[in-house]
Amino acid sequence: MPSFTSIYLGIIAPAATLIPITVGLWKFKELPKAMKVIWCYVIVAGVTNCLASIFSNSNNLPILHVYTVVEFVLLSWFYALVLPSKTLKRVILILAGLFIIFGFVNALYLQSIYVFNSNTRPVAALLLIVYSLLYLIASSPLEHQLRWSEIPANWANAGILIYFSAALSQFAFSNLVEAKAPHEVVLLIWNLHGTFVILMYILISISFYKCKK
Amino acid sequence: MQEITENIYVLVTLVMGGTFLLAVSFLLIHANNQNKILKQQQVIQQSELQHQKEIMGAIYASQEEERKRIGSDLHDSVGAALSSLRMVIESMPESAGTGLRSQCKEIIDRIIVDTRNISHNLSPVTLNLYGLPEAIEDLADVINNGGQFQVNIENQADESLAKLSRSTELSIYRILEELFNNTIKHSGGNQIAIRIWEEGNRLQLSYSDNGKGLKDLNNSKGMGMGMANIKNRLDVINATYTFSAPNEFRFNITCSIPIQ
Repeated sequence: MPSFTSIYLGIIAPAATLIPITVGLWKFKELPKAMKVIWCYVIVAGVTNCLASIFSNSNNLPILHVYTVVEFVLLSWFYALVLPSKTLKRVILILAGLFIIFGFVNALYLQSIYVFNSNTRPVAALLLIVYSLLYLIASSPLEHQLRWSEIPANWANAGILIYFSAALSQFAFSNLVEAKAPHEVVLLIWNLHGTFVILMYILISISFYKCKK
Repeated sequence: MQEITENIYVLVTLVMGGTFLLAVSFLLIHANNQNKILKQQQVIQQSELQHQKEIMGAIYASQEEERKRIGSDLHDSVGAALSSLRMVIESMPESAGTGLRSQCKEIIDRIIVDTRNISHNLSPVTLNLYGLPEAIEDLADVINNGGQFQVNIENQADESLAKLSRSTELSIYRILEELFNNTIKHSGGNQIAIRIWEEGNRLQLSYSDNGKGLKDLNNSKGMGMGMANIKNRLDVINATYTFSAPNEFRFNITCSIPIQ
């Protein structure tokens, strides 16, 4: 009988992508461009989860190397759309371009594609945390005359901020933990990570649900 | 150093939990602050709106006061002067010319009637003396007597009408005047229906005509002066309104007015 961890990490957490994908599909016509980018992001996450499951018997970490770059580019695009400053938009898009190069350099020269990409993933997480905080600084309730909870992008931003903040230390020390910690503890940390991912998907689903024409 | 490395997973778990809590707390505080700012802004807007309403109310009150003064001046001085003039002409000797005398009397009589009408229009006497239901009937009679329009009134709220303040009564009267005016000038119809009833502690007033209706009623930019005036008067008495187009009537406005 499969353990709770294998069900949670192998089925529940990956399947959670279906929640935002379904809600996004249902509300697709009402989604603004920025939310459509987030919807593309959850589609990419869903496809990546499927591929990771298919190749779960072998080392599937090369998928994560590619996913990290695509994820960062899509989320950068989202922030370039929701942030009001033109300079910031330009900086975000330039950083996204540089990150693609960094991803390739890391995979080719710095880290093996068969180990966790502890160089690129924390950098991506840090930059996304900064973007998220910039969004919070720039957002004003007076612009929309709506309560915080009624602004769709707030929910998606909250999901991104919570997930990447909480998982930052895990991304940075993943290889070290893998080497030092007992297997049960590694799984516990991954369970925790899975919970944050699910929380982010739920918050993104709420952001889709809140979209109105 | 050795111990720290061995316990790295504990530290990672703690940092994960800690940053999670930090991010959530930060978001909650941010959301709370944003909601507070919004609420404060709404309070300011509300008080500005209230202030505007009060100014509007004061304008209407002084306007009515001025109308009343002009009306009574017209009635008392011009009316009285014309009556005296008529008596003078009456007392003129027959030799002055019968034709001229009767012509002068005719003109003076017409001016007296016009002056009385203008004076009553400026300050509705029926409203002052007999109250709103009678004043509405009076307005309807004037239109019915014209022969071009038929006005039907269904009043089921006499008691509620009696409870209205003087300013609310005047506002309703002026709104109806404006609506009648719109129907006569622009509607192209020939029937008007007014229904008044009570719902909860609010008075409902429905006005319909079978004319060609109005476009863009909910768009304040497309409103004419008359409709904008009606809207302002309704705002001042804290009334709400809806537009609809029932079966046979192409224009309908239903006002919901709080009873004091």
